[in-house]
Amino acid sequence: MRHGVLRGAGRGKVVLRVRSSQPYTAELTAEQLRTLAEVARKYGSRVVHTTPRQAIEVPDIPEELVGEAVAELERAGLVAGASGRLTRNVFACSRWCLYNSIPVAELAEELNRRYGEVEMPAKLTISLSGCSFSCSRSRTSDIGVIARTVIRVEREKCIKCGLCVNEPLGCQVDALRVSKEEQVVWSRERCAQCGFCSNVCPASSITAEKRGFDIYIGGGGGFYPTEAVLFREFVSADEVLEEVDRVVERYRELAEPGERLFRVVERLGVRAFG
Amino acid sequence: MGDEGFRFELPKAGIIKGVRAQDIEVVGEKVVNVRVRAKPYSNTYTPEQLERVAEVAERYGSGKVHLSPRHNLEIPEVGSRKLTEALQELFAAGLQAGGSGTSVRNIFTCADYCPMRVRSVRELGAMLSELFGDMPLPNKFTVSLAACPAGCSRPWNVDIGIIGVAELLVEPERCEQGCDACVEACPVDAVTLKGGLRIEQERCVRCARCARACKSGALRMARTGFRVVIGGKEGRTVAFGQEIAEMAGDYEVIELVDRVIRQYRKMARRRDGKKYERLAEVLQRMGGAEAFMKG
Repeated sequence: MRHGVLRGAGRGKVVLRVRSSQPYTAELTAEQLRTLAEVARKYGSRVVHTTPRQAIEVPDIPEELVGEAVAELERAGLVAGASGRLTRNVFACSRWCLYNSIPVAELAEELNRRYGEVEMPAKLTISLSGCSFSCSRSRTSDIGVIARTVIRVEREKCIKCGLCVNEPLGCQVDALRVSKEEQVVWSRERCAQCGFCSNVCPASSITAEKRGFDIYIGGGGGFYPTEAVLFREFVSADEVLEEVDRVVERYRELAEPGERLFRVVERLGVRAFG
Repeated sequence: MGDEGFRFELPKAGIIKGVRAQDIEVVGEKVVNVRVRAKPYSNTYTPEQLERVAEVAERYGSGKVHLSPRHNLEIPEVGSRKLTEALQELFAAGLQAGGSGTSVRNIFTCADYCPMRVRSVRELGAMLSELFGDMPLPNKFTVSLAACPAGCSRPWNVDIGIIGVAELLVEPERCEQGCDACVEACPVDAVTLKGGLRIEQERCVRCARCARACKSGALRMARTGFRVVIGGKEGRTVAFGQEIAEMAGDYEVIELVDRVIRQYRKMARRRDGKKYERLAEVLQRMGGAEAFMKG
């Protein structure tokens, strides 16, 4: 079967899996939503499912009409794929999220462009998180990229406004303490390095010293829940692309046919990837 | 008197502080992201719902929609002044804001039409959503249901994971030699045919793919149920769920979810700072799922 066409529950009916190629996977335009609605109405059973990796599925499409349905979706920048041995949708969190340390939308777009249509030894999942809270599950994916910010605290500049500690914008992990009597105190151990306080602070008492990405590899969910291991620390966006290229290249060299990346990491260790 | 028109209360969940992508200055107006899901519960959207989201995104937002990791659709860059109108329009199409903050997040279920399904989770998901959806709790709380152990909906990394499993009926004498469909189908290499059909119980994840592939009736599904695991999480730290039930029926699952939530409310403590623990932290402090359920 062609990519993105999956076996469904009914006889002669298939499930069509698409992902957005414009602008990237986690976002849809109003026009794309309308096209999906139209395709589900015309070819499917008036149902559209959103998958756990930000792809979209339209089930119950008669096999003989798949070509037509795909053509209609492609005109709206929705491509069939993300199945079988193709790289899954590059999973990315929202570019509109307030907690972004570094928004990952553009990085996701680039990675999708590079790997979205490429066959791998087995299913490959890449996830990108704009902050260390990692809504996009980067620590249980084959390749996970997580942004973080190291802050600098200049205590004497603190005006004791409390924005960095109080709801709704305050620190999520209680790493900061401020009171009417006391200027800000930062607990380095507790800090999750999301960097949000540095965006919030009006007095430049807390600023972002440096921002970068950590890369994790070898995580997985499903049959074998596995936590990924740290592969590279604090690299730039350009370096992320280089490093992911390297990991994918090594994976293709090292893997047996059908072997997931996390299996290769298990078998040969993270060092095998350079 | 006279004020008998439609009253609309702003929901507490689902309105998330947002930012503008292009750094547009909005004076006196907050920019929010509106997170919605289908109401009554569904893990799919109808064409009309998608069209309404498209319309609202264009009229009140930036014409873009973000797909969340838990089935929600997020409409970013909505100005707070027009928020009530936007929500009303969504509400009229059966879309309700929700799934944020320290509460039970959107109940996450996998696709009902998947042929790998061992036991359907749609109805159970709907029931759980009806009973517990958006319930305020000490911290964020996630419940995911997977219709088979492949677990596309990530049941191992949520507070409560509910996983459809099958018990196999194995009759080696019915096995037709020469066919190895079951071996091919097994994702965890738990089936052996050398010296007669045998299932390695330690490896078997109870997905029943072998039974589905078996033509001779040597492998069949005896019954299905749910494995329930609690205390998993993903994010800043990772924890995998611990089993509290091996093969539970629908009502047993509902009862268990209720018990776990009650227990969590009772047991969750404030961390050194001010936030309450997630379930994973409670389990760690108490020494595991068993102690937690008894405690």
